[in-house]
Parts: sequence; structure tokens; C-alpha cells
Amino acid sequence: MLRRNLACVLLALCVTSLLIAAQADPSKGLVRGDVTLTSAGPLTFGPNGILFAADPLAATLYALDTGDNKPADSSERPQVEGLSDKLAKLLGINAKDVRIGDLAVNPLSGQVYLSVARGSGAKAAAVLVKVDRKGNLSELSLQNIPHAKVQIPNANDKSRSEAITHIAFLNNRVYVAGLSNEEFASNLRTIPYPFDKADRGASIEIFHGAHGKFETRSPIRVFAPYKIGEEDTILAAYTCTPLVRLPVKALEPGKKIKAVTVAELGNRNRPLSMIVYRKAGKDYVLLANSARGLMKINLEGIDSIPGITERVKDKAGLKYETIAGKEGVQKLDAFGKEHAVILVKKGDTLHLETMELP
Amino acid sequence: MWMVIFLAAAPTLSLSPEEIIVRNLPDAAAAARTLRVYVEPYQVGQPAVLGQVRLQGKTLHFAPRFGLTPGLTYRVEAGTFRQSITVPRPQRKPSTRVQIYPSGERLPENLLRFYLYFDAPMRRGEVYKHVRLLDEQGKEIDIPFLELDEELWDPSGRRLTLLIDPGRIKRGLKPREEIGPVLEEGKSYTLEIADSWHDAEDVPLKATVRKRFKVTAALTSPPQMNRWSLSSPSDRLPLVVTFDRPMDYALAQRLLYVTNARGEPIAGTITLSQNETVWSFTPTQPWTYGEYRLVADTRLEDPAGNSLARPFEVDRLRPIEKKIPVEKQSRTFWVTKKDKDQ
Repeated sequence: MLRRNLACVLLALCVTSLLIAAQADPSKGLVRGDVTLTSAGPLTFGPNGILFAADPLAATLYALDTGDNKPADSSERPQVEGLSDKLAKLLGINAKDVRIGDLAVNPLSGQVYLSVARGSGAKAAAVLVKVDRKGNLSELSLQNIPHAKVQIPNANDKSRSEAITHIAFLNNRVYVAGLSNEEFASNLRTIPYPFDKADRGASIEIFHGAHGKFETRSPIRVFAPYKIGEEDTILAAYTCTPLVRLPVKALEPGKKIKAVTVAELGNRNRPLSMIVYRKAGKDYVLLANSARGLMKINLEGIDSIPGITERVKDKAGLKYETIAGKEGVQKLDAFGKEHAVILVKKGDTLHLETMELP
Repeated sequence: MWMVIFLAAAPTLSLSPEEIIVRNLPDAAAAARTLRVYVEPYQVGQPAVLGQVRLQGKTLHFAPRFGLTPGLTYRVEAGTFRQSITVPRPQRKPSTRVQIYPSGERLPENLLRFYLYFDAPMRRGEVYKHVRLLDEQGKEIDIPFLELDEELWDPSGRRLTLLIDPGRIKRGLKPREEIGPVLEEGKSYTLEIADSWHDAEDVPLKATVRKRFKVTAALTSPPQMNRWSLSSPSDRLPLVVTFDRPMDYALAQRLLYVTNARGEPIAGTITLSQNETVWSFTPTQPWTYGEYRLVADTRLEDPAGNSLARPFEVDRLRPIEKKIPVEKQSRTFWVTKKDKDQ
């Protein structure tokens, strides 16, 4: 009897440990050590408080264990009036020499992380700054931090560099969009996580063939993962405005991908930042733009939209509205299911606000 | 009396290249724990400057995490002590100059990019405020450049890539349909780089630079390597390649090179001249007699973004030869003995 019980316990232990092993461990492969960022690039959170941070100048993608993996004990929503001035004072520099590369909200704690560049020339530096829910700023120390890194292949060479415009995490892969300062390439890289030395990711060339008869290379600027039915999709906004959809399963290295344009968002405009969210049973994109304000795009019908192939007068495809009173939004990220943290430019000053999702 | 004056010596602030030094604090050890440094003008609630405090004897040293910034005033607080000190700004006369590529005075209507080469690292941020494109009447063209927050700098901060809005180059895209192209054939323009632009040491450029150019027809076909002419180099004389058109200044230095017959790259110096139509390669070691190759990566572009592999825009309704994409193209050349040597 005792022996049978022992056998049951052992079996249960085995099953439990097998189940644990079957789940991908987000901390796998992370090693403690010092990290020095040379530039402030895009950020995104993976599972369990792992922050992905791109360092475009060093052509490196880092996975950093922030240790920030518990629910917040505060229900406050981050708000920092005069964020750029405060960052300048924290970093000991003039406000005009502070640039915010990106922001990401940790979905577990609701704390906001910023990549910040300080200064130019020989004294230029980059830091990660944490904004807690009360709006206090502190540096995320990168000394002896559990981390992993991967070099982005062929990104930088001599005077060539690549501005990484956006990163996102989906199904154990990090998607990286970049724009070169030399050739006009359309690079979307996919890098498996945990990082693998043998597979540093591959570059996929995206073409834009939806306008008239001409087909061109088109750099993707910002994007967000979105499931259409059962199909994983990437919704992406090109540097020159159109919003497109790309099936994730088609994103294979060496393939020439043509995206389907689902919306034209107006001229003299650059997309800056986007999220997908759900409200009252419907899906929307919230897209910040350089010239056309903050847009709420209704994704209804995205699965059946044939793609815009004719020249359009001004706007076409999915319907959108511009959110009044939200001018100057530069960056945004989801804060829970009902809010977004936004970085708003008023005059020369950047402010951090939390808004209700429209 | 003398003793009393000595004891009352007031705490003072001074500067070393990397630190703020506080002397004569009554209880330096206790002050080390409470010392905070703020950037003036101080406002309640502002964060203290990141940095480390070090106690050496009775003197406190504060090293800001990123060094001291010239021109800033720092306010030091420890207990009841409060004092400010300004880091002097070095006086330097403007000396930084800029050079513009493509260097030609005739540029295609579908020109995709300019490179601005500075001879010192530049200040980043708001670069587009200092660059203007003017028409023949001196009127500013409205938003001609793709204004990227990231600003396409090279790693040294000395070269900026200025992209003409591709939305106004690509046919069939709305920006061009509605507001037209940035450049129009037959017209003249001036690219102006203003001396209001500061370098990384916060000193303005030496002078405003203006590049005047006339716009020619759009370049819509890809460059063809088999139409380039190659010289016959010998000894230390360079290989001189004359292109079928001007090529991209930066890419022609990175994506075009010389190998020996075994495909091993040959070290040497590249120069571009004649408005980027002539490419010269002088080997570090003298040529040896035999076969060499000029190798081009097919990503090599002309200034309108047409690469060896494909034009910037492909007209899908016009049949073009479907080729298997190759990543490299090459031309063979021979280094032979000159007649007088034979």
C-alpha cells in the first residue's frame, strides 16, 4: 500500500515536472552581467517581466529580466507632467538634449519603461528609466542584470547603421522593423526567443504593390500582432502611411511578401506608434500619427477587405475616426484592457499621460 | 579668535573635470548620506541628478553618472547646506563644416537622398529645423524630407542621411497624387543647411551652406554593370571605373570592391570623383600580374534608389526580364605588363 502510494506520488511529481518543462521558460539562457546601451531604441515586453530593448547603434537586441513581475500594489495610473524636463534633470543635461526612444508598459505591474538618449557626440549615452504608478522616475540599473542578447545580422557596417523603428513579441519570436541610412531596404526581421546563436533571425523583404501598377520596396515603420479568426496577422503601417496586413505564416526568410493594404491614412503623415485593443466586443487599432492626430481604426471587416488596389482620393479601406483633444501623441502602449499610456508633445515638452481607450 | 575663524570656515563648492567637490562641511560623513545634487532652476519635486557620492577624508566628491554638462548650474544640498555652482562653457569659435552629396549640379527628378557630411560630430534632435529646400524664387518647399524621429545618422554622428519623402517619389501613392513631387524636371532648387545647426559641443556651424542644382528627368532604369568602363591598372596605378551614371556616394564605397581570381578581397583605397561617376581603387600593395575581379553587391544603388538588382519602382504591367536574383555581380580585369616593361 505504502509502495503504491509512493509510486503515485513519484508519478505525480514526474508529470508535474514534465508539464513545467513543457512550458517555455522565458528566463532560459539569461546570464547575469553588465549591459551598456549605446542608443535608445524601441522596447516591448515579453512574458514574466522580460523587457526586449533594441540598441540600434550597436545593432543588438537585448532581453532583460527587469525582476518586475508581480502585480502592482497600487491602482494609480502613471502621469508625469513635464516628463522630458524631469528626465533632463535626472540625467544632468539640458532638456533639448534628451530624446525618448520608446515606451513600454509592463503588463504585469503597470510600470512604464522608457528608453532615453542623452546628449550627442562623444558623451552620448542611453539609459532605461522606470516610471512607477505614482509617476516617480528611477533608472533601471543594467549592472549585473540577468540578460541575453543577439546581434542583428548585417545591420551595421562602417558608416551604415539601421534605425530600428519598432519591435514586437509574438509566439516566441521578436519581430524587428528597421530603416537603413544607406540603401532603401524594407527589412522586417524575425528573431526566435530564447535567443539562439545558430538562428539570429532572418530578414524578410516586404513590397508594396497595392497602389496602381507600381510595386516598390516599402519599409514598415510600426506594427502590432492581431489574430484574424485563427490566423496570426501583423497589422503594419508603412513609413509612407498605408496600413497593411501580413499573415504571420507567410513571413518566411527569402520569400518576397506582398502586403494587403487595408487603409489609406492620408498624406503628409507618418505613423508613430500603434496598439490593437478590444472594446465592447469589437477590435480597434489606436494609431498615433505625425500630422493626422490619434486615430481609432475599426477593424470590422478586415478579414474580408479585398485590399486597396486603385488610386484613392484621400482615405479608403477601414473606417477610422480622429480622437479629439489628443494632438501631439508620439508613443503609446496599452495599460490594462481599458487604458493606454501616451507620450504627448506640447510645445517642446513631452508629458506622460494615461487615457481611457476610446 | 584665530581658532574660532578657522572652525567657522564656510563649506565651499569647486569642480574637477568629472566631479563636484564639497569641502569644509561640518559633518562630512553624515552629509555624504543626505547629499543630493539638482539641476537649476530647481522646482519642488524634481528628481536629483544620478550619480555617486564619495567621501575622501572630510571632502565629499559627487560624480554625476554621465559627467558634468558645460553651461549647467548644479545645486548641492546636504542637511542645511545649499549652494550652487555653474560649469563653465568652453569658448570655441565655430569651425564645423558640411559637405553635401550627391555632388553634381544636375540631379534626377526622383532623387531619393542626400548625405550631409560634417567634419565633427553633430547634435542630434530637430535636425529638420536647420535644413530647407528652396525653389527658384527662394520659396521654401513644404515638408520635402521624410522627418524621422530616429534621424538617420552614421555611428560617428558625422553623417546624416536626408531622405526625400518616398511618398512623393513613388507613383500611385497619395502624397504625390495630391501635392505633387518634391522635385520637378527642368526646375532649379537650392538645398540650404543653416548655421543655426549646432555640433555636439553646442557650437554652431561655421557658415550656412547652399547647394544649387537643376533637376533632370527621372532615372527609372537600374544601373548596368556591363556598361561600366574599366581601366587597365598596373603597378601602383589605380583601377579606374567609369559608371553609366552617378552612383550613391556611400554605397559605392561599401558595396563595390576588388578581389583576386580566388575571390579574396584586395585591401586598398577607394575614391569617388567627377560627381560620383568615377570610382578609383588604389591597392595597398602594388598589383601583381594576373586576373582580378571588380565585385558589386546588387544592393548598390544610384541616387534615385535604383539598385543593380531592380529599379526603385517596378512597373508590373510592363514586361521586364525575370531574372533569378543574384546577390553579386562581377567584371573580370587583368593587370598586365605595360609595353615598355615587356
